[in-house]
Amino acid sequence: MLGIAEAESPSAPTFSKEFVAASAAPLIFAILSHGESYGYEIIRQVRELSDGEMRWADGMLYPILHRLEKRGHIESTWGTGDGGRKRRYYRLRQSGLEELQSQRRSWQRMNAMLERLEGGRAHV
Amino acid sequence: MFDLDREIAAWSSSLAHRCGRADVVAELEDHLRTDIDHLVAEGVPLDRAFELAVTRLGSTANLDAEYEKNRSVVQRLLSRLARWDAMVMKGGVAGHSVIFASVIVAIAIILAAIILADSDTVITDVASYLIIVAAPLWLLTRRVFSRR
Repeated sequence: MLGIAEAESPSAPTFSKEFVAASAAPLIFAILSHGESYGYEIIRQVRELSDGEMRWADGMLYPILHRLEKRGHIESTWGTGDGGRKRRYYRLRQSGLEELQSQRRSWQRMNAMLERLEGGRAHV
Repeated sequence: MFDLDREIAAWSSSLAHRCGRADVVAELEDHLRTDIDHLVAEGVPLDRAFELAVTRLGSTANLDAEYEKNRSVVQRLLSRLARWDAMVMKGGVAGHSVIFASVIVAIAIILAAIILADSDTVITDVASYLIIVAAPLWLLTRRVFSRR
């Protein structure tokens, strides 16, 4: 889906570019489900949640946020940030919450399938 | 002496030139300044912090390419046309850009002709004539004047 990619440390590609792209939207939804946030903070949270293993190219997040807003999953408002600067805040909409729940089910199902395969409980 | 505001103004201007959206520039500038603030708080010198933050954010060309994915076909065409026009004004038009612009104008003319053929309203007729006559004239005029 997305043109997001790990940027800073090419030596730590725990997550492939494709995996990072596929997980970007659910991660954004999940972070925003805890309350409104802004680009820099979202990137910081992702880095922290992944213990620094998932690194997003900073500038690539914003087109994704705008795309999700265009699709009606999130909405944004301009507020004031550090030092009185103009800052754009994003929050999750009902449609985004539903999308998060749907994607969470898909990821859980995928994880269960992989675990079953790993446990030898299914024929490959 | 390093002037952060001047450097950021130059960076913003370059981005605005490419993407042309004030809200995008404002949002990315906030990101840039926030990153610089954090780096400086960690002890990174201001000029180095600026360089690092700009690198992390990505080149303005890459940023614009990402935003391009969000645009409709018409918006992409208009955006490229505007870029081509800007290049003409700078006198740096390459051969392929001329061909590209010519293709756009040709498509506009064909589309307008189709609309005209099916149209029975005055408004669509006027809009179509404007596309047929005004777009190529506008491009041609700017090209001619830019050579003087």
